[in-house]
Amino acid sequence: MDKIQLIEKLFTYLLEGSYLLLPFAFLLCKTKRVKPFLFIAIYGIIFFFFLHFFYKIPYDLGKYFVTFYTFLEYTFFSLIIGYHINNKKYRSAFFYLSIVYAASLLSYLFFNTTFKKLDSIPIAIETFLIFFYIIVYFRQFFKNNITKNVYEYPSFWLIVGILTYLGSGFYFNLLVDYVTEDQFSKYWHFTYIPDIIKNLLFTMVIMGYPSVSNEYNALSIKSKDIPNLDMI
Amino acid sequence: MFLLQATNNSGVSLVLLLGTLGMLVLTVGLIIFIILHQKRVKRFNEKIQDMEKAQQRLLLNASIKLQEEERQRLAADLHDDAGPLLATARLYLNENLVNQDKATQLQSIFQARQIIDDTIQLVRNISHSLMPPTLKNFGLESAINDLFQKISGSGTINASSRFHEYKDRLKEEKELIVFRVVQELINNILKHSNSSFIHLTQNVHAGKFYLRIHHDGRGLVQADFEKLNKSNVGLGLKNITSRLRVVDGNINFEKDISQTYYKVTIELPKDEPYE
Repeated sequence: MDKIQLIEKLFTYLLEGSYLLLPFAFLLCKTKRVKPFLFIAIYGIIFFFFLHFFYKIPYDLGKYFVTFYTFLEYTFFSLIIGYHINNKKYRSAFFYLSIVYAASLLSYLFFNTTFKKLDSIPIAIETFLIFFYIIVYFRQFFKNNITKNVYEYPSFWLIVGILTYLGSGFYFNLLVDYVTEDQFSKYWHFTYIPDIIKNLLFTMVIMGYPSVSNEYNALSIKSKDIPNLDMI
Repeated sequence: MFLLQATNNSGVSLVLLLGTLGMLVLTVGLIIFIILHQKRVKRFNEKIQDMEKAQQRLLLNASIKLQEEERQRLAADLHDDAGPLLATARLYLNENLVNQDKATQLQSIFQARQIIDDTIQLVRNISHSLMPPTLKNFGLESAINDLFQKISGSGTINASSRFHEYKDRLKEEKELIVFRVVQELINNILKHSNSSFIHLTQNVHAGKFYLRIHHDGRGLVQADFEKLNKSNVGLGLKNITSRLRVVDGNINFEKDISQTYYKVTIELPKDEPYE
């Protein structure tokens, strides 16, 4: 096993481990009622298995596999962001855009015959759409939240994770079809770094840093916490 | 991609690495920018909130002070006017009255009655100054017309008022607030403006109720009003502001285009008619 393969393996294990951290963190956390945490836990399990079997998938099915991977990733990211958007109009806009995106993925699967290594076009569209959702999220954030610092909100760190992951990988994913097989295997595993950072940020949020009470206050109040105010 | 095609093997690695690194730096830069920007927005909002709190405290102090002044005036009126009058009446009706001759008795009773009538009138005046009966019974239009007739009747100033569209009366508490504001404005005009006439007009436009007072004396423009509102003087003006705030109203002080008159416009939402 040469040095590059060893590094690649190490990165792969680290990445798989970081995905596995998510459901474990969810099991350990005290705020299981926060929906985005549940989404992240499911996301962690699914993508752990995806990555685990990634290299065992036959090349013919690679196109379908990576497209499905992209679609699932898009779904989870938009669910996490969409959960933090209060405006119904934007939420329905997200929904319709997702339908259009799914349709575009289907047409990509059936009409694109030049698949090489990755589904660059669907990834690029996914990145643009998720960036748009993030802009909407920040727009709403600056409209409503003025009492606390932005980094005191758990959702901010979830968004930072997504932004780092998509932003860092965007350039490589877009040009991946234009590099040789050798260059691909040499640099592919570097894209795992932002992926691991994202998963670590997700884990940090699930474990309660920053405190969920800063944002999901209404969710964390149980009926027994409310004093009985009936005087009669 | 053209860049990649035109670059040799080691160059491609560098392009990929630099590109990815560039994107990462951009993303991190964006995140830092968001954090810093939000901090600035937060600081700005906190500053505005502090200013609003200070302004509210000022208004509250002004309204408490005015209330105290009103109570002192009432106490003085009762103590200095009603008190001596009733004491005098008591003197006329003292226990020696029965021992006096009939003519003196009648004289004393007549005097005492006269004094009691004066006291009744005095108490009525005090009561009217607290809550004008015309306003309660006949509404804002009659109360303002009455006020202006009294001012005009004094002969020192020409005062007139005209209501153009006041079929649907405002709510009772709103009418009282508007009346108090008008009273305060008229008071100020009489005290400080040295004008020869005051004219009030009322109208309704685009679902809003308007009252405008014109006068030809010395007056204020909006900038003066806001300046006085923020300072420690001008209690009456602060009182106007706090009263109008209760009914979501606005007030605007301006000088006429001809530069000969001052205009004060009160604007408030004409939500529900008086029932």
